[in-house]
Amino acid sequence: MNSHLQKTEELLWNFITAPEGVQKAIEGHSDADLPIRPSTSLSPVERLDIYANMYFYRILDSLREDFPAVSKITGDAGFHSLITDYLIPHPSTSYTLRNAGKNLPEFLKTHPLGGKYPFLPDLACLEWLLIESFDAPDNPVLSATGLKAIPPDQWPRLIFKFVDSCHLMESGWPVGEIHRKVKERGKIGPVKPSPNKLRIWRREFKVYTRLVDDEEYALLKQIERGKPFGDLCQVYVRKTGFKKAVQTAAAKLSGWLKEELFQSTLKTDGG
Amino acid sequence: MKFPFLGFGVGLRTRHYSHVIKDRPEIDWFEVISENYMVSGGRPLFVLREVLKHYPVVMHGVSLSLGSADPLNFDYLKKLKNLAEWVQPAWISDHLCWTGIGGKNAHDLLPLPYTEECLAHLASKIKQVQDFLERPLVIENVSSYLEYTHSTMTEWDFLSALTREADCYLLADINNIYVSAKNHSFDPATYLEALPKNRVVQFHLAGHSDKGTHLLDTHDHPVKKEVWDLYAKALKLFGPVSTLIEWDEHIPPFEGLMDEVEKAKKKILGVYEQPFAKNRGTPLELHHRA
Repeated sequence: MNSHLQKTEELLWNFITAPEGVQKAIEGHSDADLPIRPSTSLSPVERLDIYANMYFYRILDSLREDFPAVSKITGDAGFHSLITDYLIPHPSTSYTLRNAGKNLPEFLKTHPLGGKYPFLPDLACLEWLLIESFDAPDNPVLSATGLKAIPPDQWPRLIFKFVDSCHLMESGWPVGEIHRKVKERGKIGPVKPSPNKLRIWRREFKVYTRLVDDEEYALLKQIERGKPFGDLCQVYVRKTGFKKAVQTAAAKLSGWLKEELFQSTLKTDGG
Repeated sequence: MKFPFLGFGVGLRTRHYSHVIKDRPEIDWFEVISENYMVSGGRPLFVLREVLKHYPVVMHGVSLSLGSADPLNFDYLKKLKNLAEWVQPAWISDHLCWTGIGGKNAHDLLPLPYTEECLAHLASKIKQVQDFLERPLVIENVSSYLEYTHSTMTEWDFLSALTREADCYLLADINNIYVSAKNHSFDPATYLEALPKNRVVQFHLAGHSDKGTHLLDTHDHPVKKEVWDLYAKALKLFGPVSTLIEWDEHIPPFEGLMDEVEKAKKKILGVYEQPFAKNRGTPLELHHRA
């Protein structure tokens, strides 16, 4: 469609989304190009400015809600500049504002603010995963009772599946702690690199973030890759011998079940 | 097509989720923003499920972008239809606007030029949507802050023509009519009087802000006196029409919304001798005071 309507909408879009503002965007256009009537109190440019401001501030406010820690750390002016820059390559293409920030973590990797605060891309990634977890599908969860109903001889071949709200994240920065501090105190002190492994998931309607140690993270990654329970036990068998390994893995499993980490539907390796 | 008179409703907002579920306030119905519930799971869907057990619900969308020169987004429409099949809303509404072009979304309700070309384009898209959703669509007028030099008809003539061309219905936002009337220097009563009587199925009422040079539809105040007066006029013209209080910023406790609902009920009593009875599509016998 290359209609008058399309031309009008493309022209308006370019004016109201121009990062340099309507007045500058309009330079080079003749009055005849500008299909806007003045009102008794506003010029066409001033009328367009109303829409330009609403466009930017609606998305800015939404992203500030979605990335509260990133916005606190960068400050009002910094976050404003960041989103101005972000919307140039990443205008919203979704029907919902909920998705407007999905490219922000990646974008921060090459943005000057990501250089000033090197942990910022990972912090944005954590905040994005919290959103993803918040409205992820509801899954029936696997309970200890449900697991006990499965004959023990099948356990080594069992493949657990995370609930859809569960995400694993690894960072070279203490992003979990940074996020918590910003939430509680509104600011952070100096940040030093420190490996962080996190598990993010939702129980009922609350999203949780938990710092996990290297061993647990390795096991969870195995589960994420679809490895059967028997393979998980092998990690411990090499360290502690068979009997202790089964006990240790079972204890870990029991904790995860209490935290409702797995879907009730189980698969078996090769079955 | 008969649309029921649902009575007086409010928009379902996050701030009131717990109160609505726990205390089940005496409100006739809720309007939900469709896109907020086009998600996979979590609390929003749980809350909506609970609300559906006790209240009629209307689905109100903000992203259909009917006026965009872009083709319809059928991925969006499939999600909308899935939600509607679950919710079974009294009706589905969206706006007389475009929200983006070239696949991009401004998340704003941008005004359209009122031309024959735009009318034909919009009518065609509304018909496609109605066919796809297998239900009529209700179209709301938006507040606007600019007018196009090439518009050849008024907004009210455009809307009237649209209902004929697309066989759709109207959600008359009384506050939006008032805001646009002030911003574009027309008489809001003329607008109301021109709307087809048998096509208006819902009213919106909301607060706006006076920015000095223009009025802005902010949904963050109680309804202004001038808008209440226009609402009274609309009641005389259109009779029992389901009415909704919108409040989206600086949202007060639920009681604050109920105060506005009570005012709307009083307005009706000022126009008609007896309070309206809620119904499911049965025509009401009116006892006009005038």
